[in-house]
Amino acid sequence: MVGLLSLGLLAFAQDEDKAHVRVFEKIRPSIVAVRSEATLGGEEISGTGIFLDENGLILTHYWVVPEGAQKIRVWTTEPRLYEAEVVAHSQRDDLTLMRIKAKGKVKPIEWGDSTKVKIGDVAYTVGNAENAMINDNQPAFNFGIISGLYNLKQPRSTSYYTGWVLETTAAVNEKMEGAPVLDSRGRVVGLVTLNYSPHRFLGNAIPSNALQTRIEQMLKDAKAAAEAAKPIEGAGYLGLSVKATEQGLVVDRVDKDGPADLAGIKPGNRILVFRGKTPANADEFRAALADLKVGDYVFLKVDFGSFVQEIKVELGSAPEEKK
Amino acid sequence: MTAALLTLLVAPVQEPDDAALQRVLAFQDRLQKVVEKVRPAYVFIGGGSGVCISKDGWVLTNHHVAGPTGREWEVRFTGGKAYNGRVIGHDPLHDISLIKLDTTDTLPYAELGDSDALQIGQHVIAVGNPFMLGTGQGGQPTPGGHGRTDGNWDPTITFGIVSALHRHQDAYSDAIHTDCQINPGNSGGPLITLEGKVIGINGRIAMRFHNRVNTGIGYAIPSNLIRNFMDAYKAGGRVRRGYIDGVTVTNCGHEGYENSGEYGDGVLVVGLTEDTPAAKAGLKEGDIIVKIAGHRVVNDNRFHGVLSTYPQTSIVPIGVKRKVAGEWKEFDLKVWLGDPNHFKPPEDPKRD
Amino acid sequence: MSACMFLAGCLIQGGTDLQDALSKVSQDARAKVSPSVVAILVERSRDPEGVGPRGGRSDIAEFQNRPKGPCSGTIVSADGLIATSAFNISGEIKSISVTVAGFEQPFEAKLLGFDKEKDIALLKIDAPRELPVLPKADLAALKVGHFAFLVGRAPDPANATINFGIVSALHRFGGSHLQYDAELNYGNVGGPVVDLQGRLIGIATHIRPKTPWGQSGGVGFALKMTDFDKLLPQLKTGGRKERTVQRRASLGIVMAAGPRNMKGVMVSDLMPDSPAAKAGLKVGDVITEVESATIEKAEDLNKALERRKPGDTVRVKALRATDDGEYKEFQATVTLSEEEEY
Repeated sequence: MVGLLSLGLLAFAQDEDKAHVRVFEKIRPSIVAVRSEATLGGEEISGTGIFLDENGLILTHYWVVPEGAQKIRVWTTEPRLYEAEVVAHSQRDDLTLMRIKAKGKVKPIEWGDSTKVKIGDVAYTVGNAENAMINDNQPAFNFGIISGLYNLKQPRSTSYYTGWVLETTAAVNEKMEGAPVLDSRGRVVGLVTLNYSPHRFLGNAIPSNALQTRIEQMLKDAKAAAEAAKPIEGAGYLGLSVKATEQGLVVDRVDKDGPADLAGIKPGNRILVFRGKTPANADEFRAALADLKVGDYVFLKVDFGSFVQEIKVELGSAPEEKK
Repeated sequence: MTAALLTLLVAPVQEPDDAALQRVLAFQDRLQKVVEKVRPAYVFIGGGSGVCISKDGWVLTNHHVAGPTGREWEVRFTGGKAYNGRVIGHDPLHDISLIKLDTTDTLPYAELGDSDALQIGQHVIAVGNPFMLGTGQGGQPTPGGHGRTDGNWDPTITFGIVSALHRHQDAYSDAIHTDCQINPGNSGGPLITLEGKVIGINGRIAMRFHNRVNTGIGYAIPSNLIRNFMDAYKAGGRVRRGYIDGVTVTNCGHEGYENSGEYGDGVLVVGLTEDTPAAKAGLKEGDIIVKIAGHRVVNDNRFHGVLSTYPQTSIVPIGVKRKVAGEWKEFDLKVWLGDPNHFKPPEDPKRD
Repeated sequence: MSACMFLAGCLIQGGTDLQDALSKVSQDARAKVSPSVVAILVERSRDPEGVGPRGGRSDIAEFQNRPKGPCSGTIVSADGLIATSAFNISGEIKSISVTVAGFEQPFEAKLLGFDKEKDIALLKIDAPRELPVLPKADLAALKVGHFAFLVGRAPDPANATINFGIVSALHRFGGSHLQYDAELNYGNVGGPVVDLQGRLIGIATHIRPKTPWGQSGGVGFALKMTDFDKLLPQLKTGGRKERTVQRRASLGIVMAAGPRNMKGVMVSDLMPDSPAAKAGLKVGDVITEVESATIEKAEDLNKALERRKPGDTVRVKALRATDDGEYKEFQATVTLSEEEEY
């Protein structure tokens, strides 16, 4: 009896070691690696995706397969290699839907319920970290918890998504854009987005309930969805003024709580590059802004004083008083 | 009886509040005991780490920590007891150096485990010295390294899981990928299972934004690879990793190669040179290699990766598919892995 | 028969229950602990100057990346004493306001004292009622390998964050701090580090700025509560201990003891844009000469650098190993940068 008990406890302990293994085995067939060639310069972008249905519908991050992407390839974990066709894009939501003609049925992911997720829940991420799937046929599987829940109001990196995100301590690395965040039962509760919090520097995911709503809309009418995702009308507002000095274009004034202020730009910072050009004076700078609308994004290379960094800012609408 | 059955079935679903805490406390206790067991086997070497794997003082570390054969090091165990050691064998590509400590003392050690038995999702711990925290000057924060050696000799323990296996990146041909936090200073240190067995030597991390700090990916050289090379390390000098001389391969399904199957089937033999180990093994152009020593080969990256885990002059079985009289046949061949310029090939590797 | 049932039960329990158990324990810990975690908003007119951790500029420099918004603190007395990291209140402060769970309006906080060597600071708010204080863990029973949680209140003060890891080492920086691998970042530094049952182990600190941390590299520190209690009297009465910082000329390398049968100082680590890296030095190189001074051990190199200023150019001789075990000598010209020594 004691012998059996000890055996039981031993099996129990070893079973504990395999607690996460079961989750990995469940999700493995549903994860894919994605690679496309961007139209600009044919640069290859790699990332991760998930099967949404058994006929090969795949969800991935917009950045991995943007509008105009060529030669879209998908690696499954069999492994098999397929070419994919885009079904729909939604740039503002960081999403792309595409399809492969799989041989036979594939195993789709199981959706979790992001509204039931609690901060503290065990969570996993899995995907093509550092091309683990494309090079080695090994989805990289990481363990952590759901560590936070907050609203990211600024787009960052190459992300366009703003809104509520789940944060996870499970590792999120390069080429895991589009990777799922799983709950303790291996169900998808979020999709990794490139946006992040500069307080936390941890992986963030678009909650699955938001994803499911969006995917439904995207599928219903791909064209109408693209229209709906376009930026709002109105002249784009950056919220700073510049002046030309011997050192080049220097920020003169920053409007409080405007897009530039939220991006961390301060008076005295130097604008080195703006929308790919080097404006020589305030007029040229304003002219470069002229054709932009609310919701558009601009790239600036800024000298913040002790370091230089390229940043992306979403243009807002000008506050009433300014008009 | 039925009541007992029902209770058992219901129990996992409705746990009393306290049960979750007890469960995790029990797991925590287990983890803590493994840490206590393996910490004594850890050693500090130069700017990195190592682990003692035998009671007479064989120590494993990275080649980029201890360097090549002949180099002498002061090696300190957890707690500070120091011994002199010498690098006996080294492998710059697999990034391993084997050190022998000069002592008759019986030393604390940790056993090598079976890295092929690892499963993705399995818990592991890493022991190391990130940012030289264990070798700093006791009592003061260590500034950007001024080489003070009167540290507190306390290694750092981190906890994670096996994220992926058999990763082939640059010279690491069969690496364990873990999300256990590993940083500069962890190099050469052990990756350990919850059974206290060393299944890897941590060597590398993926870095972003030019910052030499962990981002969630660490790579370790697996224990089975080290075992394959152990005799060669002990014999001394530089070891050479295996490959099949005389054959060129490409991925199945590669453009331009009809009837080569699909990507994922294996690798296709597209070139074969006469009078080489490949030819002598019986390989032919058009063959598809699907396995090496029991490991499935899905692409050329894995093909080269598996071969590299064997030292030269090993003879390994390879699984081959060949079209014979219009039908696909599967069979095994034995191949000698060696560079004929360096070693004398055997007369004729046995053919099944 | 009943034994088999028990076994079967154990096996069924073994599977998903560890995740579920851990999920529940984490949620419970957060619920217990977060009422004692506050969000601190600091308005400052100037951040302190800082140089990159190893003389480089692309390093995550300590203050330049401090994000806008709140940081975290821990309630340590029912009448409103709040502990936080000295890092959080460094610079020229204009005002500090503290948001406490359950109170609509934030409180103005007074900075009482700080100790920058231990990286701890004490604030005081005037609360209208008793504030929740966490029970303390028994530090004597804490072991390496035990789990630890880190709770914070940023970026969203209304939704406390939680990070999970293990105690990595128990005695750092003279024994006042412990180390863990739960992710420490700008959002949770100053918050509490607790055990599985939500009992207070220490206050999360950023004591070692030379350990890159903004990216959550897995090395975090906490001032143990036992040591915090020792400092409390002087913090309460306005004690302000600055870090004794010396700025000195730097190569931007981490040194380590080299091989025994070789004289010189080994480069154990260096940042890609450090002076040494820019001059072509690599990890594993052994420095043997700086200008005409022979370098046999670390003290020699320190002396050689002490004599110089940031911006000076020095000729460095070093040895680099080839794969076959030979060392080849080479020269490099390094333009020294600045480094903080403390």
